[in-house]
Order: sequence, then structure tokens, then C-alpha cells
Amino acid sequence: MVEMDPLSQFHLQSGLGTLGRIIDFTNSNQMMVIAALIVTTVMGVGLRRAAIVPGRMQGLAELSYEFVHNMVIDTIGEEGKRFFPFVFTLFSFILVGNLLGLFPYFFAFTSHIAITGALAFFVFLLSLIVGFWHHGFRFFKFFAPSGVPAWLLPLLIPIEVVSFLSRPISLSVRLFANITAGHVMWEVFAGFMLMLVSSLGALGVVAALIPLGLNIALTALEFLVAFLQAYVFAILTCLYLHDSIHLH
Amino acid sequence: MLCARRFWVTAAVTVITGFPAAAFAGDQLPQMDFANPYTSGQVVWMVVIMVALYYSLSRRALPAIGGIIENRRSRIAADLNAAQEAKIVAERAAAELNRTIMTARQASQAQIAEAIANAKREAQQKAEHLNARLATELARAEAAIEAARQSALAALPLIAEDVAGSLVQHLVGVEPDRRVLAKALKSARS
Repeated sequence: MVEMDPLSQFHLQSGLGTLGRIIDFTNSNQMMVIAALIVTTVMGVGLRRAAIVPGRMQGLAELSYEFVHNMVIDTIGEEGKRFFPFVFTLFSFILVGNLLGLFPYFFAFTSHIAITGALAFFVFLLSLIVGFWHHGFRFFKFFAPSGVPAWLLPLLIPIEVVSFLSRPISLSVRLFANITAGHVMWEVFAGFMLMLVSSLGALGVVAALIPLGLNIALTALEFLVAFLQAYVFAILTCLYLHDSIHLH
Repeated sequence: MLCARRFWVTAAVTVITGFPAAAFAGDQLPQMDFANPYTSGQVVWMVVIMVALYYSLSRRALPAIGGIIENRRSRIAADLNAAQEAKIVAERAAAELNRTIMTARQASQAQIAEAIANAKREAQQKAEHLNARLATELARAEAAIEAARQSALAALPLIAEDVAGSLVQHLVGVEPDRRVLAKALKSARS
């Protein structure tokens, strides 16, 4: 039997050698730095010429800018402009993190609940601050939407409070679970291939084509998930900010 | 629109993520191993990295890209404006040209009309002149005829006297008295 542990890919170690051990810099932080460098490089290279008719890199930079910008303005409204850099940072960081995680031997830092939880908690905190900043204590009216009959309020308010409090949990678990599940499934199918080959020999090599095909299909799905989850995280952030500004 | 989208996003996300969350609630997941100081420690470095990324994006990259897009938008708007203005100028020039052609045509037509009128007037004057000359000549000729007639008429009584005298002489054989003859002729004529 082949030794395999589909979860070992998520083990945190210190990165950057001895220096990393001293400053508690982990392998996930390494990938974060690479992701941040990729984002800034794409934007920087895209901006180098600042042409009226954009080239390929500038087109990429402008495309991502306008994509996030439209998402923020469409979801939050004109007031959302202030949050555009934040949402862009969040979106690009998560997207590049997800995509980097797809490469073999690279660490997917978005597969860590501590990371996604911290991001989601910050979004939650920000939406609270924005809500109280805009509405003061009237922000609590958020839990009692207008136009609801009074007898329904005792039922509705707890539901609203629970759903509001579960936002950071669902936001963080969604991203973490998606990325983790995809990577585990990859490794499980790859483990199947090794098992088949080691136990069935030549027949196993042929049979291993099935999990290989599944993994190929899974790769396409994981690319979709990488984009989709970054998008979902960003648009839900926008929705929460919209709720804080407009109260439903 | 917003509510509908929100519903679909939430629904899709719930379906996609519903099942794996429950499956990983074990303590053998490295992500759940909070005894490992790195698990929560990585968040500190993430904060540093994200703040740096946020600053470099919000201070430099994003405003620059926004500026480029805005610049392009205003450039296109300016170009469209310039084209619009050029069109207006061209239309104005075309109108000017049309007006010039029109006035030139009108002027030439006026000149033609004047020339025709002049010619007519000259012809009329010549005709009038001719008519006048003919009239005077006619009058002179008529006067001459009249004078001739008058002189012929004036000579008539003398001839009559002569004829009557010679008739009387032939008939009677006596030469009549001229004065009596003239009186008799005069009474016969009236």
C-alpha cells in the first residue's frame, strides 16, 4: 500500500527558512506575499504605458478594475466608491490565492479557516461600523424591516439577528470548505491511481485512467470554483455593505 | 433586481457549499489544529501583507487605472465633440456656399432681365423715333398734297371760265363779259 494523507497538503510549516522560524512566517504567508506581488505586478506592468489604446497587460488591469468597480457600484450604489479599493484588494487577493493554490506543491492559503475567518470577520466588523456610522442606533431597525405586521416581529427579529450573526460564519466556511474540498478530492483521486497501480499492476495502470480523467475534469471545476468563490466573497461583501448603508 | 440577484447568489452558494462544511468537522484537519501556533499566527502576517497590498492598490495602482479610463473617456468625448463641431462648421460652409450660389444666380438673372428690358426699351425708342419721323413725313406729304389740291382747286374757276367763255363763243359767236361769266359760274356752283 502507498502511504498517503490527503490532508497533509494543508499542514502549516515555517517558510523562508531560519528567518521564517524566528518571525513565525509560514508557508501560507509565503503564498500570500507571492499573490500580493502578482497583483501589484499585473497592475504595475499594466500601468507602465498608460496608453489610450490598451495593450494586453493594461487590458487585464483595466478589465479587473472595471469588473470590480461595476460590481461595487451596481451592488452598493454610488456611496460604494469609498469601499472599491477594499473590495478590489479582497477580490484580487482571494482570486490569486485560489488560483495559486491550484498548482501542484503550492499552498492554498484560502483553504485555511483561520484566514477566511479573519477576512470574513473583518468584513462583518466593517459592515457593522459602516452601519452605525451611517444610522447610529437606528441601525437596529435593520432587524425589523418596515412593512412587516407587528405580530410577526417576535418571530422575525430573532431570525434576522441569527442570520445577521451567521454572516461571517457562512462567508468564511463557504470559501474555506470549497477550496479544501476541491484539494482533498484531487489528492484522493490521485491516491486512487497510486493504489490501483500498486495493487493491480498492468490492469491497474489502465484502470487508473478513470481517476485521472476525473481529476482532469475536477481541474476545470476547480478553476471555476477559484473564480466563483472569489466573486462570491466580493459580492457578498458588497451586499453586506449595501445593507449597512441602505438598511435592506 | 438587487433582491433577485441576492437571492440567487445566496441560493447558489448554499447549494455549492452546503455539503463539504459538515464533512470536515474532525480534529485531524490541519486547519482546525489551533494548538499549532502557525494556524492563528499566519493571520498576523496576512494582516500585514493585506494592508501593504491595500495601500499600494488604493494609493497608486487603482487611482492610476481610474485616471487612464477617465482620460480615455474624456478623450473620446472630446473627439466626438470635435467631430460634432467640425460637422457643424462643414454644414455652415455648405449653407454659405448654397447661399452664394443662390445670390449669384439671382444677380445673373437680374442682369439678364435688365439687359432684356434695356433691349426692349431701345427697340421701343427706335420704333417710336421711326414712327415719329414717318408721321412727320406723312404729315408733310399730306400737306404737299393738300397744297397741290388747293392750288388745283383754286385754278378750277379760271378753267371753268375759260371753258364757259369758249363754249359761249362757239355757241353764240360773241365773246362774253368775263365778270358776268364769273358771277354766273359762282351762282351755278353754290
